[in-house]
Amino acid sequence: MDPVRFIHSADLHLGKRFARYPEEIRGRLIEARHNILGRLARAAREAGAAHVLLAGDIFDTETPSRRIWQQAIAAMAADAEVHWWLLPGNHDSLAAEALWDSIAAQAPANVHLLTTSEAVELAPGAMLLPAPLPRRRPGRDLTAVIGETPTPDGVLRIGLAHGPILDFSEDGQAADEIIAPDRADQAGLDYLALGDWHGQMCINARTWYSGTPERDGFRHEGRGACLAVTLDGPAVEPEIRPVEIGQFHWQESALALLPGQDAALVLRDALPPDRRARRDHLLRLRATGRASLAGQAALHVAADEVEGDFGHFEFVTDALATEFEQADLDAIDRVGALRIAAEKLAASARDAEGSAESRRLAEAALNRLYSYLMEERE
Amino acid sequence: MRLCSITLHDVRRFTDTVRIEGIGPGVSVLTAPNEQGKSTLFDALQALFFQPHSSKAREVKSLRPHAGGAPVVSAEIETGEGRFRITKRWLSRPIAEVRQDSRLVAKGDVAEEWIAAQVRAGAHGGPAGLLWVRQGLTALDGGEKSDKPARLVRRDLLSSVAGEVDAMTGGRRMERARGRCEAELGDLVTNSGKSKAGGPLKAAEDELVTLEGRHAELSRLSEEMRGALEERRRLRRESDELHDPAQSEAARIRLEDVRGALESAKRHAERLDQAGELTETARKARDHAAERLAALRKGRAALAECSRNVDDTVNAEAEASQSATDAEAARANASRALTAARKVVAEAEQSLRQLASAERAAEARKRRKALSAQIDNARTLHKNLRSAQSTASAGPTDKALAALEAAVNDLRVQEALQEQSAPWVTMRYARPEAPRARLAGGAELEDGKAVALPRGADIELPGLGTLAVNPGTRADSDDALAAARATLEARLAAIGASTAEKARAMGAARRQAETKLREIRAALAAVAPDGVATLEAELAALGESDDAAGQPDTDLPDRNAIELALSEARSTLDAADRAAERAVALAQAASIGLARATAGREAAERRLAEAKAALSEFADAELEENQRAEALREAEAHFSDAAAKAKRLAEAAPDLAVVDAAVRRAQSVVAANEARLRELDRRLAELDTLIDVRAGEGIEEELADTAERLARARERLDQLTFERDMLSLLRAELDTARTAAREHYFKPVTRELQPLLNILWPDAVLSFDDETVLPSVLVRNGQEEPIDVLSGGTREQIALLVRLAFARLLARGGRPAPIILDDALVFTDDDRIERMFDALHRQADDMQILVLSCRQRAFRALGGTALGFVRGALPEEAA
Repeated sequence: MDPVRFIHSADLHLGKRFARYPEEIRGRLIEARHNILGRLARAAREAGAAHVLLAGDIFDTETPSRRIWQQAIAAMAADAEVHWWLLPGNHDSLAAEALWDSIAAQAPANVHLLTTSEAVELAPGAMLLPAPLPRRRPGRDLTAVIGETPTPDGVLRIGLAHGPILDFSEDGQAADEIIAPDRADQAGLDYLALGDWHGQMCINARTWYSGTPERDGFRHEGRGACLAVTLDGPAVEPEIRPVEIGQFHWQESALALLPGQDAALVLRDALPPDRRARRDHLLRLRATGRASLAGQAALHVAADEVEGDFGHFEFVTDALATEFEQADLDAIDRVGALRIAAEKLAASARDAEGSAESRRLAEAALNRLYSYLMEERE
Repeated sequence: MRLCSITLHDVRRFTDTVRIEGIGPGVSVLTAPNEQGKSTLFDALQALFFQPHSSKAREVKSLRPHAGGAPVVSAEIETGEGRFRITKRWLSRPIAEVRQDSRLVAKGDVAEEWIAAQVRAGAHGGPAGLLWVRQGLTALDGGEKSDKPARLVRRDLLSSVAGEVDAMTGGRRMERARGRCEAELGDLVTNSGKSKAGGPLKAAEDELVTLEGRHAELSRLSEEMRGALEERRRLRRESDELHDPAQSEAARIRLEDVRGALESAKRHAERLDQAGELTETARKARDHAAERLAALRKGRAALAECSRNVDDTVNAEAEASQSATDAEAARANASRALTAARKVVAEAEQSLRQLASAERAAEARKRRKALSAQIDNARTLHKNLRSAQSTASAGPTDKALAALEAAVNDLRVQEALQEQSAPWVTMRYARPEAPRARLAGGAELEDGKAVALPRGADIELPGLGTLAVNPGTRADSDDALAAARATLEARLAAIGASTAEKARAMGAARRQAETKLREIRAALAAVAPDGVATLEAELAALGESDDAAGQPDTDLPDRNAIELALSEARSTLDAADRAAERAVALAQAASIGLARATAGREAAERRLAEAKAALSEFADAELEENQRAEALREAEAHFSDAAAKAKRLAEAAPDLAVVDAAVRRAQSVVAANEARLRELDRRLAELDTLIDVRAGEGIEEELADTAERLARARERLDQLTFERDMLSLLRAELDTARTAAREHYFKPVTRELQPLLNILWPDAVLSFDDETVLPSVLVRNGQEEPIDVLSGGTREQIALLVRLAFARLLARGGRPAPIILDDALVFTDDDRIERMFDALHRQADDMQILVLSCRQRAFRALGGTALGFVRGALPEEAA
């Protein structure tokens, strides 16, 4: 038999609005999610695959606006040679009757809705065994039925399901919804294509999470990808090839600082070197450790300078403590009221008996006082 | 530093060299009229210490005399290192030199630095040194130079300590840092701490509220959508189930089954009804047989009973007949006894009536006699009454007598009064035998006896002649006496008596007649209370006397005997009457008893006849009874059979109500299903519409979007709140530190100032403004007075005292500085100036104070070292 090739992807979350992010990046993120359909189709063509299996959460909600799903259908219809197999996940479960009814009514011939757990022929000699989610919380391992679904002898059995194998805590699934990690073996599957985990993960040789093709948060670093899967025949181990297709690179890094360091330099070293690529880079830097008043001031100046390079840049200093050096306090004033106020704030910032909030306030106030006086000096 | 001497040359009016020597520690005073060069001295000293020798500033040029020249100022000073002379010349060949003895210590710029070091503060730089106070520059807040900014005033006042104050309070850096903090905080909150309208904090709060509202609304819509979807699924399942053909067929079969069961139950019920009717018929037949048997048995028992009754009643009738005969005989005897008794009573009553008639006639006679006597008596009394009335109407009344007695009394009074005022004559004879004097035509005057002569008299004195005694004229007394007499006579005339005694006798007669009149009236009232006519009428009514016909009273029979006989006869009659009534009653009862006995016998005989007639149809009543008993047993057997059959049917009968209910239930199930289907169709249509509408709105997308915006808004609000709290903390710490620093600095100043203030005002306290660091409020006698409302003199005094306090502070800090006062107390009155002098001397214990004044007389009392200009020579270096 001819090898069966397909693209395994999931968790597109079309319609996600990224409202937590600034306006400058929101529109681009939303647009990138829509564009991922074209990138998937291109990946399929490049891999010689005629099918794209979407393992759930194609849409971000059960009631996406008409514009979202119609444009998605239109994008899928653009290449009639590529067949899209759509499995309802927990975000767009079968409870979204209106959505699936509407899509069913308008779906072109190359778009296939998998709304029941009946086996369907993916390609000659290959049967697709879907486990659509009837509702957001099905309350059981839906893949159990896959093992009981008969298929003709000698055909490839490809499972398609959505849910956690571990408690990913993406949505806090109950333990009884967790998919058996050895489901592929139990159910005699040649490949089990899973969705739900937004990062890419290999459970075993026949069981993979593809991850979302376009990242949507800092939890999973890097760019989104899909899997190009080739099944040469029953009982033959599948060939899996990750294909990076996402537009945006998400990164969250810790910036560990020591008082003696040149904090600004440490920050600059932590940045991706390719300035041009930073435009599609979302970076969250979490400063930790300690820095002097001068170091903190320099750090903020440096952060302000590079912020504009990035598609989105967050510089988080909650965990960065201020190291008060004698020279810092002298820079504020050697004697007098300013020195008294600075020492009082420094003492409050160091006061172990005070609340964390009061320490943080005192530290920030001291930093602010320092910056006032330094700016004046400049 | 202490000044010892000053030398001027070519300084304004001093074109020659003048010198002031002997400036000691403590207070030194230069008093001179105006235009003598005091202000020139002040300016020259200021230039020496503060104007570089190379300066061509206005202050320097102003020192040059009109005729031109190079101003030279030289001063001898003492420092901790010894005695020095400093000299400066400006404008032409300028020099600056410092010498100790004749040794050059410094020259030029070095000398300038040396001089500046004497008037400069310690480590932090800034001016310190001389405290210069001149007329017009003593105000604290601008004073006469009201356009002078407070900051400049402060600089004037605090020029010597400004560096220290700034160092302590942070100075301009503090002000700017605090200003920026205040400005940034002001963007967030108002002065009262509320979020500022239009500011980012308020905007964040508002956005959060808006988003929370939107999120709640979207959540509701989302829930509604989910609910609608869930409901539609459920309703569709239900609709499918209701449309299930197997279920419909099952309902139809069920309905037919229960309907068949109902028909069967109805037929059974009909059979049960028939069995019931048969049972009832058998029951009636049984009851009838029982009744017939009972009636026969009853008739036979009645016949036996009637036979016994007839015998009993015949015996009873015989006994009653005998009793009736006996009773009638007794009744006849009683009747006769009654008649006899009645006759005896009638005779006794007749005798009693005759006696009563005789008694009434005797009583009438007695009454007539009494009435006649009464009438006669009454007529006599009437006659006496008229006589007494005549007597009682004559003579004076008691009132007239009282008036008369009053008049008599009045006359006596008047006579007594006249007698008392009359002349009295008492004759005392020289010898007993002397001839007696006598009233003319009257009595002889006794020896020693006073004789009144109310109307005067002539007294004959034998041998001597006649002595005429005339009383004086007493017209009023005589008139009263005459009036009294006239009154008496008038009242006597009214009574009709000639004298009072007669009048009184007439009065007594009248009262006696009145007494008698009352007695006659009383007697008349007793005899004829209703008048004589009444008595006469009563007499006439009694009629003529029947004395001739009547028997004398003594002949009347014994009434008691008659009444006793009558009483006894009546008792006998009563007893006879009661006996007769009893006999009659007994006779009647016996008669009734007989009648009843007869009737009873007759009735018994009739019942016997009836009983016999009732049984007459049966030839053999006993045989008939046996036959009827047999018939009853048969009827009872029939009834038992029928009842048992009915009971079996009833027990086997289905519950018609239950079956009927089952039918209704089956019918209602079918109907309810149909109704439910209609309802489901309607509701599904509603849900379809709702879901169609909502599905296209992307509510969950928007909800997720709003939730993220909400989270971001919360973060933003948290950041701004943190910013607000942080800035508030910073501002508070800066304020606290600045205030503490000022207090730290001003405490010693206040400590120095307080005793000086108390010299002028024992309880005064001066407070300083936090912002300007200038004295702001003077508290005296518990009253707060802002400095700017105080008088010019008071402000001038306070300004000087504050400087004295600062100077003392500098001295304590090892930097003693002379105070130079140029007419500094121009507004101060004589009393205060004395106390200000005290203050100056108090401070001058360890300080040098140089006082320049044109007020020679006022400042004479200041004491201290007196100074004056003396001609001198230039220092050799300036020569």
